[in-house]
Amino acid sequence: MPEEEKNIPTGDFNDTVVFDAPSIGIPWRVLVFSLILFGISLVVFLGLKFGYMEYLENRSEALDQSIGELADTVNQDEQQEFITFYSQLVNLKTVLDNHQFGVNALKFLEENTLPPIYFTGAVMNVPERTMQLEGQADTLDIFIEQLAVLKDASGLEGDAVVDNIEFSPTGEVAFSMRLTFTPTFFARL
Amino acid sequence: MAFAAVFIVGAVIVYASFIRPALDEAEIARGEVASKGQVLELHQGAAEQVQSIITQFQNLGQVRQTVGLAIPDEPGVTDALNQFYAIARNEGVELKGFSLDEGVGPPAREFLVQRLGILTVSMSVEGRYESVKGFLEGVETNIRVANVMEVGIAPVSQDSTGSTDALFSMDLMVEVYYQRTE
Repeated sequence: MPEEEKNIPTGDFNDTVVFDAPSIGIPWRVLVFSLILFGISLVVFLGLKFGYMEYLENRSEALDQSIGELADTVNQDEQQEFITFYSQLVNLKTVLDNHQFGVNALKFLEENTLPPIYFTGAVMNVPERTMQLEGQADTLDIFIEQLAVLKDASGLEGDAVVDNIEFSPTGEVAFSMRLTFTPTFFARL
Repeated sequence: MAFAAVFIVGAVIVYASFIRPALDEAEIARGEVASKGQVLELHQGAAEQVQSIITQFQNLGQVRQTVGLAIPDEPGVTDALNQFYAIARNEGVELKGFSLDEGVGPPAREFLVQRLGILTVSMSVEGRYESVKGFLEGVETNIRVANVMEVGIAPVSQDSTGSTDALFSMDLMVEVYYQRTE
């Protein structure tokens, strides 16, 4: 057999054509697919940017406007009047809860002072519940008796604190003392 | 194949550089819209409640008037002076002096509550013991709430001490209140 004959392809020519057909279609399909993919990505971006975002911005503005308009549905004057009244009520309760009756101290002295004792001055600090008293007693015995009366009296926190005692030549006693009342003493009339 | 690669790379670039940031932006905007929607719903409910409360409040004329006498919504210095003068006259004491200082109370702890204005009134009265005591009680039980801070009582003349007709002078420091509208 000659050498040339050996290199001549054998077999059917049609078989070779059928074998190469898909390799021609695949690049086109890939190209179309990539083109569609690119197109979709552009459409999605444009839709997001100029469709959805626009919608959200408009909705946001509409909500802002609705919230703003809502404030006008309640009359500002009526609102202020109500806040003032509410404040008055709350503050009134606070003030009344802390309200104290200083006159109780004078009634206390009337009930717990012996007749021979008389006071020449009284200074009361109601928030601190204290009273500074200055007075005179005919004798020291009477003054001691007065201290005993105060010790037994209800309404005092601790004993009367005597600051000063002075004796006159006639035997009279001038004194000053401080009383501290219990926390509830001034609460009720 | 080269064109296909260009388009695919282009699609990836569009996604990474434009779509992804736009999605993030949209997510934030959507969150804002959702929260504004919730705020609107809450405000609508609150506005309805406020309107209903205001309607009820407007029907409380008598209560408002009484509360307004106890703590008026203005300093009302003249009214306060008139009231103390009336108490003094009723109790038979002489109002010898009257001075006034204006201040502000501490901030309220409750929401919406506006702080009180405080008028610190210093007064001097003179009269018999029972009258002076009656004046003090009158001030403390007056319709306009008054808290007595300090009281000083002394006989006008030491000579008359112990006598039922003895004159006493009383110095009072009293706080009266009014509602500030801030």
